[in-house]
Amino acid sequence: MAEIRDVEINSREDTLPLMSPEVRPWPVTPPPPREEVSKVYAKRNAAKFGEWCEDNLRFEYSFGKPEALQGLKVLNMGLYRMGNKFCSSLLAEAGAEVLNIEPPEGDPLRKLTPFGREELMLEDRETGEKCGMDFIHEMRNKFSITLNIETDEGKEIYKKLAAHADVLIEEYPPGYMDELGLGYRQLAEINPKLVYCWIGVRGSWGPYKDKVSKFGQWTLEPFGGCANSFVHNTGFPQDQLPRGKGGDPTRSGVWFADYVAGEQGACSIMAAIYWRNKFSGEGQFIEVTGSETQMDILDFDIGWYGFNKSIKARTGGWDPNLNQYEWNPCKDGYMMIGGQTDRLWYRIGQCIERDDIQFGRLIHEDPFLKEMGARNALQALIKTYTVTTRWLRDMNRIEAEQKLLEYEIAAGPVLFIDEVSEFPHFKYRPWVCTIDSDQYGTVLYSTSPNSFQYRTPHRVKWIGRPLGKDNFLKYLNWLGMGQNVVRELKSKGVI
Amino acid sequence: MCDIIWCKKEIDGKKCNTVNYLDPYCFWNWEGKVNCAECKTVYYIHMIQGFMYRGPEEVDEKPDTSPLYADKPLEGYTNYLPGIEGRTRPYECLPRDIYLGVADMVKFSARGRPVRGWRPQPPSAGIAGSFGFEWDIQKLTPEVWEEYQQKIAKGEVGEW
Repeated sequence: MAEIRDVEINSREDTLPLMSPEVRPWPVTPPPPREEVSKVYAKRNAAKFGEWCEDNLRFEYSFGKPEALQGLKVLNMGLYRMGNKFCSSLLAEAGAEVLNIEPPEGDPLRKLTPFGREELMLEDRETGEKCGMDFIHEMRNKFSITLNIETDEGKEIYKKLAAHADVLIEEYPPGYMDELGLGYRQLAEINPKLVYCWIGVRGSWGPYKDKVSKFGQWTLEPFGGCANSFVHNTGFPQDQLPRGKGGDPTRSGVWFADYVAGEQGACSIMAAIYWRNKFSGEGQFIEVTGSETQMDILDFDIGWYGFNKSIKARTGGWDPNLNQYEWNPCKDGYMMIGGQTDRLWYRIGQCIERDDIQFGRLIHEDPFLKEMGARNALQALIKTYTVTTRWLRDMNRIEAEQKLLEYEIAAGPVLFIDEVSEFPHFKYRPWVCTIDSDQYGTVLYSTSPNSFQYRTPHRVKWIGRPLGKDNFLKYLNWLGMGQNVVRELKSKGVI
Repeated sequence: MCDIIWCKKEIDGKKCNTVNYLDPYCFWNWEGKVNCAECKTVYYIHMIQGFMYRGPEEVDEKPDTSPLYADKPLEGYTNYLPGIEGRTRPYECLPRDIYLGVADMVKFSARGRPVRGWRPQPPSAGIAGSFGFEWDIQKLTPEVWEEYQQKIAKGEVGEW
């Protein structure tokens, strides 16, 4: 619990130490008590099932249960990219032992912080070294060791590590590791059981593999998202918001293609491990790219184009397939309303008509809108959402939500991150939680979404790891290298 | 928006009675002149946070923009779809050929069956309008129906 103390604020400087969850308490309001939630279960005759879920799936209980991937040894290589970090996070959360190998000077990703603002980085309490939140967030359950693979000794050590590994995740420019003699072709001779997953943006082969730079592919995430139409398809159409006023192609706030590639990489690795252990005993090479894996989740765009050359327009907050299914502005933000079938369509209408009689005249009585298939037409969306938003402009999200929920309509506010952190549902489970670390203090985070498992839940044991913190421990564990050897190699710049 | 302009302008002794829909993302915060899709009367409006702060006031000037859609609830909901020149704003959900100005009429699917919405569609559909659930080809586009019959006769229509 945070202590209460007097603070004098005269400048922005004085507020910086107040940003940590240690000072600023979380949650601000406590989650609902269990008795209250039990009533929710009882409402749907799910009292017993609800109790069973709570007693078995809460993430706090995960620490007393076994880990599915215990004993799986994973090496993680990659600079400045999130794909490998996320992929290995997923495996580490499931119990694998992951060594994140960085060059002695560290991954530049450690220094990445919004707008270069140092005050948004967390400081290592021992060394004073600052680390960006991106990196800390994805250093989940991972050990950090350093190794310069461009030196001869470094290469030898790397090969020895690979000889002991089950999985190697790599995200360097295509062909770089192979050129050093450390690619899959060379390592598979030492360790044929190795599952080697390369994560990239466009691919390690093919005509455009080195397109962006003569020094090798710039494995930068936006090239993935731009190349697969994700960026073009995201955002508002220029017909709704003129060009330069919001109707422009939009990238995701995160390195989305990287994360998708990481997720698909983890999936491929699991399948390869299963095949190796169950059937063949052989490892293999896996290649996943950000552009292609993200394309995989862009639903019907390409099918539609193939059908009649349609280029899917951006539709912003409106879903082009359903009516109503959209978020629209309201008094204090944006409100999501969902429902397509007649049952929900008329419920939404009844709810709105209570306040706005004209809604019935304009929407319900329009014969065109009575046909469920017809009302997905563009003009039907424009009409419906214009009149719906005329209702929304009068109220806050919470008022709209309460009114709509009375009619059992899927409705939810578009939440800001502070509201997500205080969302009673997430606080209760708790999915949003704080974690204490020796180095970085208390950090607010969302726990692994795979935590909610009965037998082998995934879990976050720590987040963030100072550079090279595990050098002595892991070189001893994996290779039997004593502290003196490690120190010597460190002084030579190998570790 | 957030709002509508229900045009009551009298033309030839009869009220226009067209509902012009001002779509939320464009008009939520907006000031300017917008025309009625039917009678083309220009209205000055000033919208703040979805509310009509000023207007609609009739002005004798050129419009800055048009509504995306308008209809006439009192006359059987006859309507103006997006993209009708001088009446409604274009909505460019278009194939690349049309971006480049080359119209490409696709009337039949890969199976040889008529598809429901053609490009380019008849003027009543607007640039990117879409039709209702039922599209009576024989009645609405007899020339395509005729072509379809010929295709059937030639055995070009697939069974699957």
